[in-house]
Amino acid sequence: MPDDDLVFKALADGTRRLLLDALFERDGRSLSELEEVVTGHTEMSRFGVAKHLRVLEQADLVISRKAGREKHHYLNPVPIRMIHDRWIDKYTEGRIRALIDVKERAEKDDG
Amino acid sequence: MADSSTQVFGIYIDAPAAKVWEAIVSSEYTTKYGYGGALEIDLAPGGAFRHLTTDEMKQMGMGDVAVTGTVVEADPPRKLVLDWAAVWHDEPPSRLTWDIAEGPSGLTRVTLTHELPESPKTAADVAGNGDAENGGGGWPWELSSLKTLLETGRPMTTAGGR
Repeated sequence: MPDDDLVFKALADGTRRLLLDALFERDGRSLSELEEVVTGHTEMSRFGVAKHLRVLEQADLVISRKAGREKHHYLNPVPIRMIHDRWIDKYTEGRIRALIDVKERAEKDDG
Repeated sequence: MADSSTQVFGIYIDAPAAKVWEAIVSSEYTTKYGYGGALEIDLAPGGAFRHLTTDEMKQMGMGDVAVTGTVVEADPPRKLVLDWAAVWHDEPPSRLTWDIAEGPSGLTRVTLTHELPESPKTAADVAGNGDAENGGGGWPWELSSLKTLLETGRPMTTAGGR
């Protein structure tokens, strides 16, 4: 089962983030189209690109669908949504709460 | 997104497939996750589908119905295919497919495929690139709150929820 570790590990690599950005721009690309995107930035074999895509699939950040002889890759934003809900909201909310507390205390002292 | 004519979303939920199916087709659940709202659905090919608005949505100026549609295929608890049209946009219906597969460990894989080649505005909304609290959470927000509800029993609705 994909968990937070797999997602964070998958995101901790520039090539994999580049692949996600490419799919965000245009979803449903084939391996050869994605290979083209990657080789525009860095030297990498088709095998290397496929390996990165596998890591993204294991983390559930990419879902592939067969379309005839090709495989199309889709960005799955759900794991990022869940990390956002579970972690990022928690910390930003805390900071906002702290500011509100400061404001409330300051206003109470005033009165 | 430059091309979002087909969108695919996936999530694992720690609940039996039958329960996930119930949560997708019955108001008892649909009012408790995502953007809330009751359902009317006739689970037979050609059957009518309506996702009703919540009180908050009505206060925002929407009518009684948020989404209209037609059932294309209903194979409980494995597959539900709908022709699906958001009432807030004047665009042709899109094709929504729920695939529900319970694995040997009891985890259920839910894959949602939304094909919207002629509905770019709807496609932008359901992609979920906006703020969930302001109605921009799309399918990622619907699915992650569905998971929370089924795994913890905690209702999770926002912005027009309940």
